[in-house]
Amino acid sequence: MSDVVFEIKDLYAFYDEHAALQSINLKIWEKRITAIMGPSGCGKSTLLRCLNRLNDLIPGFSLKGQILFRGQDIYQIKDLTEYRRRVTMVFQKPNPFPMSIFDNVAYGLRIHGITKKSILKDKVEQALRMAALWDEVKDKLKKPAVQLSGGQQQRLCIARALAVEPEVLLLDEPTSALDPIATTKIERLLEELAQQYTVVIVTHSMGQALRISDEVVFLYEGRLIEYGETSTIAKTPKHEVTKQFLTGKIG
Amino acid sequence: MRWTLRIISYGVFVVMLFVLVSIVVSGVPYFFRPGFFTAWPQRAMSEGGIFPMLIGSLMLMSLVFAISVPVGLIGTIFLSELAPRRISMFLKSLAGTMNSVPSIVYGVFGLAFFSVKLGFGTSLLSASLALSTMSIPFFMNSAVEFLRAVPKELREGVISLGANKLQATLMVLRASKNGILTSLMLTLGRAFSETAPILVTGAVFYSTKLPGKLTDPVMTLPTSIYAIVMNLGERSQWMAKAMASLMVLIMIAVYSLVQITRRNKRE
Amino acid sequence: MMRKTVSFIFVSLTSLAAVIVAAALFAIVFFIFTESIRAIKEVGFGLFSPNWYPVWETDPEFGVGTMLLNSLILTVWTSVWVWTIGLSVAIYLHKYALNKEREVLLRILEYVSGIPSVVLGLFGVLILGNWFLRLGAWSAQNFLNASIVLSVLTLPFMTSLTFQSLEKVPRQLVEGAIALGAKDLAVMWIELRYAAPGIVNAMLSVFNRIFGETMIVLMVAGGANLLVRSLLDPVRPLTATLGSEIGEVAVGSLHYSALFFIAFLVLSGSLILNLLTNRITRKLERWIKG
Repeated sequence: MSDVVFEIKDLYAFYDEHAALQSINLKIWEKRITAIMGPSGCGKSTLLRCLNRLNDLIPGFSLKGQILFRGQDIYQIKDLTEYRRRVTMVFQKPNPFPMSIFDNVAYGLRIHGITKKSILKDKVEQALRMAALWDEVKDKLKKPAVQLSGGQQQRLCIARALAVEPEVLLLDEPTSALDPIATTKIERLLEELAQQYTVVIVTHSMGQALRISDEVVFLYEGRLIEYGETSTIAKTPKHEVTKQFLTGKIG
Repeated sequence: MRWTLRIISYGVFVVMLFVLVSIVVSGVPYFFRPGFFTAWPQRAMSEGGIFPMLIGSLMLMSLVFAISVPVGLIGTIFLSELAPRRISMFLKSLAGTMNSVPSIVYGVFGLAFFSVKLGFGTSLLSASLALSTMSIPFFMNSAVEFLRAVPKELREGVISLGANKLQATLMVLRASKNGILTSLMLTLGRAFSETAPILVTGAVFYSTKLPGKLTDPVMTLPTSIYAIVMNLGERSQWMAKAMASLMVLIMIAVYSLVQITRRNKRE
Repeated sequence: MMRKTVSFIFVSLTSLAAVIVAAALFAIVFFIFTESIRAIKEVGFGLFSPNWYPVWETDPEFGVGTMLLNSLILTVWTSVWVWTIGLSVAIYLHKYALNKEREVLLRILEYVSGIPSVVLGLFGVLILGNWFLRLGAWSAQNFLNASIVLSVLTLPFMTSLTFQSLEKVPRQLVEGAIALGAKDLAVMWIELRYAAPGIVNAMLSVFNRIFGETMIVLMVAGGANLLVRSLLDPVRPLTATLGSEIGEVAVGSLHYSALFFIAFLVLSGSLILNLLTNRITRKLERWIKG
């Protein structure tokens, strides 16, 4: 067993009065792919966004319980920018910034104080290679990022996240806006990245979870109903809802 | 950062409020002078009322309304419903360009074309034509957005029922009624507050009678404000202040009406 | 058959209206240019000399050089202030303001944007002008006074347009930046990049409006045809000359034609600026839309 990266203890999350998450207890392991699954509205995105503390931005959001990142309560952290560098996030819809491809990847480095051109160049290339995008864009680094295709944009966003050398990569349904070919590319990429990074991915596609994840977490109506190794759960689901999910009755 | 911006914003707020309040307050008391709205000005505008300017502005507005609404509306319909995409884009950018042309240019053009070339002279007619030349593209620019906002389904629905272009257009107009009303009010508001075009083409500083025909010159609120401030002494300034205050109140009323119309639409 | 006729009449009527509007712009350019031909022919490059003595009997001069320079200086100076302040207020409204603050400030800006320019001129002469005299300026109407009043005229426009473009920035961009650990300024940078076409459009429109504004400079700037050397100098921009003299000049005279040349300059300035605005915004939009 590897190390625990996140430990979530009795977590409740509220949007105003509405409880989006209830009584979540969960561990996320280092250098594995953990998939968070469940029907839409089950709170899976909320859970993921809690890990990056992105929900802080939403008015009316509140939270009870603890999330420990390597033993430290993340809601006690003062230096959020450094924390978000270590635990960074990729979104459902590709969101390239309105700048060039190069500047997109360099953005994260620049905000964390790296400004030397030669270093930037190296790191950007490295990140783009890791995201398997380098060959496609190396001749047009100065071009606007929005001119890339949807799948390329999403890989660019992954590269942007990788450039800041995070420990954990959070992905919120990263392929739901993409076509099957682009999806396959991203899934392969994630499997490779899992050798170096801890990956947490929210997905509503059972197939995707089975294909790429090591661990799977099932949420249903804000509660955690089952979690463990993907292969075990796929064979012997304990919970009725999980079974229905596996057979495609809920989706 | 936050506090610097906040201080700047509050500073702007204070200045703007001061401008608005000082203009309104300095003029309102004179509204209650006997005959202010109904009498003619006397003794070089130091006594009497603003009756002819008020009526002059009103006549001018009615003419601008009568000229620019039909032309503007029909032009807008062409732009949004009938023209091929290319022509429509070309016209739209043309209207946008005309919108950015300074108003004095419309005045100078009106002088050369309507007053001199067509021989209308310094008159109500020249002034209203010059103002309309400016107002029509303004109206089109604003109204076309509202027509475009009408969902495609509505158009297709009406056409699929076998309606012709005219009937389909009427339906679109009905759907964007409030928006068109908004554009109309903004257009007239802008025409009402413009000075430079009429200063050159149709306004006189003082006249003993109201314009009886289209080719008579006219006294208006904005040009009289200008004339008093620039040419007359302290004893006449109250009248300029009162007219300024009246104009600002009218504009506030127009903007409030626009607000209400917009809100109605949303509900 | 009847229906076809109705349709046909309808379509031709509407296209006629559009043609009229299109023709108007060309007519404006045409008339203003043809009326200024005489001055261009007779005065030539003298039109750009510094001295403007149009009614001097023996040897009138029609040089717009000083006025043009004054116009440009006044416009640039005022624009820079309006841009900075407008941008600051818009950022504050977008990022920090409470709902109540935002509502009140936007409302008041809207009302101020409705104040007719001649009324702002009155404000400049009767209220600001008095202050300037009391503070010891030798002329109530001067460069600074005009610049302040012009700012009041254009600031609401600059602020609300910038604010609207900032509000259009998609949430996911902001979240994307924050999720990478960006601080306020770095997030703001992304938002500004996204809003850039709208902001640039607002900035150039402000410039254009100040350059072409007539009533305010006519009333407040002071009217001296001398190159501005200090903030309290009275000045006379192009539009002021045009507005004050065109009403009294003999139609067809050289002076008349020279005034049309000024109008032609003002018109070309705004047309060029408009073209530039379209160009730049289209270029900037490429970074936003694929």
